[in-house]
Amino acid sequence: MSPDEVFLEKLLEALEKARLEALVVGATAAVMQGAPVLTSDIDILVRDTPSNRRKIDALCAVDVLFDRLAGGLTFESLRSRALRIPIRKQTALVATLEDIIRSKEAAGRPKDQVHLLVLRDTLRVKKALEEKK
Amino acid sequence: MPVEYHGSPSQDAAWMWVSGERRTRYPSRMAGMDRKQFVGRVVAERDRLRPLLPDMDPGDLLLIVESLMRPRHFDRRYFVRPLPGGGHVP
Repeated sequence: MSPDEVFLEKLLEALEKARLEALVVGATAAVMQGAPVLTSDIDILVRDTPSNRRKIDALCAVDVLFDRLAGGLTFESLRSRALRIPIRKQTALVATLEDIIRSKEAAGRPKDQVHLLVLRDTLRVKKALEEKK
Repeated sequence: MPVEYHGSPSQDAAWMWVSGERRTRYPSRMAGMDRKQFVGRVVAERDRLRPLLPDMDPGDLLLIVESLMRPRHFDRRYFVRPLPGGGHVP
C-alpha cells in the first residue's frame, strides 16, 4: 500500500469518526477508478449544514466543497450514482468518472483541461473493457 | 544494418514502463505479483482495444489499460508534492 493510500485511509477513518457523509470528487476520485493522473490535493463534497461545517473544522486540511460541484451537480445527484470503493478497511463514496468529467468540463480551469484529455480517454477505455465482460 | 522501428516513442516508453524494462519511480510496484502474466494480460487487452479505438495514441492506450487493470491498492499513487527547489514529485 502506498503512502497516499495510507493517507486516504486515515482521512476516511476521520470522516467516519466524525459521522460525516462525504463524497470523494475531483482527480482523487478519478485515480481511485484507475485513471492515470496525479493531483496535488483531495476534494471532498459534503452537505452544507451547520453541523457538517463544525465537523469539518475539526478535520485535517482537505479541500471541502459544500452541496454542489460545477456543472449543476448536487450532492444528492452525485451520491445517487456514486461508487463504493474500498481503501483497506475503509470504504470511500466516490463520484463516477462521468460526473468528474462533467464537473471539470463546467469548471473549465486550465488544470481541468489537462486532466480532461486523460479522463475522457480513460472513460472510453473503461467502457470498452467492460463491454467484454 | 537497418533498424526496424514498429512503434512511436511514446508507445515504446509506455511498454518499457509496463514491462519493467525501464527503471520506474516505484521499483517495488510489481513485487509479489506475476509481472509477466500481468503484462501479458495488459498487452492482450491493448491489442484487442486498438481497432476499437483507432484514434487513440497507442502509448496512451497502453498506459490507461495498465492503470485500469492494475489491482487496487497496488502501490497506487495519487498525489504530487512540491519540491523546495521547484517542481513536483509523486
